[in-house]
Amino acid sequence: MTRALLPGTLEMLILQTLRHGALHGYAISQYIQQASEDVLQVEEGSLYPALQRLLRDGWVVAEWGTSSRKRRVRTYRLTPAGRKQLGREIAGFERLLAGISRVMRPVES
Amino acid sequence: MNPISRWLERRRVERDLADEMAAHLEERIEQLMDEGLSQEEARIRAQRQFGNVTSQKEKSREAWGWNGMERLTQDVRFGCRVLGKSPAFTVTAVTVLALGIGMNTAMFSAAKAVLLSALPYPEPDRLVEVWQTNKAGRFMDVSGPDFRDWRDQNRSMQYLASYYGDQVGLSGDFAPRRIRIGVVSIGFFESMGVPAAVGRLFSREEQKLGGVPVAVLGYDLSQLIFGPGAQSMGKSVRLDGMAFTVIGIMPPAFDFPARAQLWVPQELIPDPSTRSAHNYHVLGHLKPGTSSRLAQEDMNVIATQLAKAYIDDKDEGIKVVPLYDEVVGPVRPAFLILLSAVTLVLLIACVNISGLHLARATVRAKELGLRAALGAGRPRLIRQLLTEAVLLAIAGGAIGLALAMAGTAVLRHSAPANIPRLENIHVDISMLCFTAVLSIGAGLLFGALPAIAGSHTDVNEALKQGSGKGTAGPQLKRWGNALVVGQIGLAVVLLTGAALLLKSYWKLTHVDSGLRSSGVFTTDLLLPARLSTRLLKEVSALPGVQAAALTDVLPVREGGADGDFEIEGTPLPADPHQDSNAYYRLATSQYFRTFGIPILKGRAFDETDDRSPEQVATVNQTFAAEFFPGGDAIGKRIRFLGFDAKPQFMTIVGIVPDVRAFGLNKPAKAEVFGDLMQHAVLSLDATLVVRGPVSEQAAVRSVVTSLNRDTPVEFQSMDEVIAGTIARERFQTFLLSLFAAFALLLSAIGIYGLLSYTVTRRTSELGIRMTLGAGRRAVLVLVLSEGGRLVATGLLLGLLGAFLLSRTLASFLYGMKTTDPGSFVTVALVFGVVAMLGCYFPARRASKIDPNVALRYE
Repeated sequence: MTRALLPGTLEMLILQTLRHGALHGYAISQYIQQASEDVLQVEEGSLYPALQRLLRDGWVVAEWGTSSRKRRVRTYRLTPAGRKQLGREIAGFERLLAGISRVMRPVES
Repeated sequence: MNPISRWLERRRVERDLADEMAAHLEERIEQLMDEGLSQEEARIRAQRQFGNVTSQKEKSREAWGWNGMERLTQDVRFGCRVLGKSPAFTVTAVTVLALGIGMNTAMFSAAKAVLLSALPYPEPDRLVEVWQTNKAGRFMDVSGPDFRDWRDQNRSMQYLASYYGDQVGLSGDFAPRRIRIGVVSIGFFESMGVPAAVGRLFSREEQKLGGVPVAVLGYDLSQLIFGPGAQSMGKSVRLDGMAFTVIGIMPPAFDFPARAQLWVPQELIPDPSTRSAHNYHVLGHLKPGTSSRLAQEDMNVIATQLAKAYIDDKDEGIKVVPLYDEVVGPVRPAFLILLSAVTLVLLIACVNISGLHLARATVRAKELGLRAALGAGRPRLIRQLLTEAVLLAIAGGAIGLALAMAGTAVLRHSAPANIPRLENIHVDISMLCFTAVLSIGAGLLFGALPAIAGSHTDVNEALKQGSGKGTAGPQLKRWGNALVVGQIGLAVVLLTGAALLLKSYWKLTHVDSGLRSSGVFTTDLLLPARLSTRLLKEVSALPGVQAAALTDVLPVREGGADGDFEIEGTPLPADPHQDSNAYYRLATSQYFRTFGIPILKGRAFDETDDRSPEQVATVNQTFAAEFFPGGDAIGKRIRFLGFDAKPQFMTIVGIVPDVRAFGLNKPAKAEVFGDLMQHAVLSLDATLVVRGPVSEQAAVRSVVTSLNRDTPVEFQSMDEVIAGTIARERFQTFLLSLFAAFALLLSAIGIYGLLSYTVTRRTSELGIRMTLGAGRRAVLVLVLSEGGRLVATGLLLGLLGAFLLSRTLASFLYGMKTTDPGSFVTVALVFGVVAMLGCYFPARRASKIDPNVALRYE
């Protein structure tokens, strides 16, 4: 990714993206770009190592399907463990955000 | 999961990953084309957005933890391919390493056998050697009566035994041979703590005057004379003609003292000797809980008492030395020198290969840049370079191990007999580990630095540069120069050491021994004394023989015995320490003629003297000058006090020149030659010397055996005998020269490698220079002077280092200083020539550059 993400953030974004249903890699990257209104320019390839890590940890499962353009693609689906992990990551992320906000507040005033 | 299904699983995952990445790209391209881009533009944009495919795959694999093995196999396979593609580099590096490692392993194995391993006895730390010391603190053998007092009065020794080594003729139902024996007292085997492997050791009944003569055999000797596995208990052997019954065999490694092959009890023969006759070695076995230091204090008390009680013991002391120091001490300095030298060699080898690697890694900058561009991270590049280094080290280590095995075999067989325990070296597990650690360590050492330097490569820079030129920054270049200067310096130090030893050895071999040794052969023999006249007559009558003589002590090989003497008409001093002292040897009339020793004054003794009751002697120049400075030695009468039961006066009839009787590097001492024929002894344990062609040896042998079939006859030329006395010097000089020659070669390779690389790197620059009018000569000089500067710097540093270090060699040098200017100049010249040869070839290549080709070299 070009706008540097904090380590592990990409995994969280993927989990979040998959919350609504199974998606294939290309769709995931499309979704993240669109949802962030192009603020997060993910170097698309880096999605795949992240997906492998999620697979390894059992937070997503993958199966081969067909894309809307009739191409054979692999779609990823959140597992219950992955859903719990997402919860933990969101909580952690919010704590982090809150911490950062507190530091930044004096500047605004 | 078994390896096969794991492999299948991985194949599947990798395929899936590749498929889905490809699908992703295609989706993107299609979408971009939908947005109106051309297919080509879409593809480029999609790829840019996706990033580096290889790198992403790599990271994905990392997620599964496969990369370790995967990358290692890859690195190894790739490393082998790369090394295979530059055979010159690979062969040089492996050879250098193999020789360095081989030499080190062999040398350290030898050091382990000789210096490090404990003495092969059950309680080596409790064994001590006890010496008597004279007023000057010089060690002396111990007199019989003193030994018996020590034994009875000490409180620190569990056992105290006396022993001495001797050489005797062994005969029986086998060919007679000369063997080394230990003549040992009660307590000797108890001290050593080693039981017999077969049979038994001496009983108290056998260890007394008039006991039944029995002998214990060494393992090797028993194999040799009775055959392997033969029953030898109870068999009879003759030692100098006297029959002994074999009662035991020692285990294979046991050969104390002095590589003894057989042991007999000392108590069989009476010891009437006095306190002034120093005949025995003394071995002590400390009581439990005692140290050699405490034992020393205990013995000091005894020494003080004895000094008060006996005039002979006045001013004499006792010194307790741990047996280990006694055995290893004399060779330790030489070994430490050789070990330092061989370590320097390995250091040079590592520096050398480090330099080779560095030069190569710099030239390879383009390749490395390309790999970085294709997605290899910096750690990965370092790993790759390290893998190559370790591959080289392993190959070098394996060949080095083979060399070391050959080397230890050579050392075992070529080592002089007076280096203790060297025959024990063998290739063992620890040596194997040593080699492995050494080779891997060397790999990391010479790999790490170049690898770190090499991986600094900036992708853009490297690719833009086109060729490898210019990618080596000044920093890297300086490092390369430092490596070359360093190895030249180290090599010069070694070379100087070798030059000093070589010169000293050369001087030693060209010392005038005072004997005309060539054309003389010799054998020890044992003969009833009454047959000696007949022996000499028959040998002298042989057609080729010019002269033959018998002597009790062979000059150069052995110094012989010294004793106090009295000059007729001069009263003896009250204090025996004030007596005149000289070395006393016996010889027959033709002795001087046989050795080509001229008579300076007077005459040699002859056959008339042999039959005359009036005893005669000749003396050497030193004796004449020392005791008769007025030049009036001839006609004077002297007698030695400690040798014969009834010493008679001998008339000095002649003066002979000095001979280096005590060794080539030792000055002559005062010597007296008595007429052997006038000193009737029952049995003659003597050495026969013959001036005549080697072809007469068979005839001489048959004369000797016809007189006594029990005596072993083992001929040696006198030159061999003399060479044998400097075997240790030869051994040390040979090894150090070998190391130095290798170091010289290495540094020549080093400078050659560096300059070749420089020339390659500067090809286009040199091309431009030549286009602009620089002549071939100018280019040659340019490159040569760059090399010359490095050589000169290294040479100066090395000579300076040698100047500082060479004093450690002082005790090994004969007749010269450690700062011998000739040696230093020679080293500088030899080194300069060889190193400049290393510079010349790259320089010539540079001068042959075709400017047209050079400029297209990009």
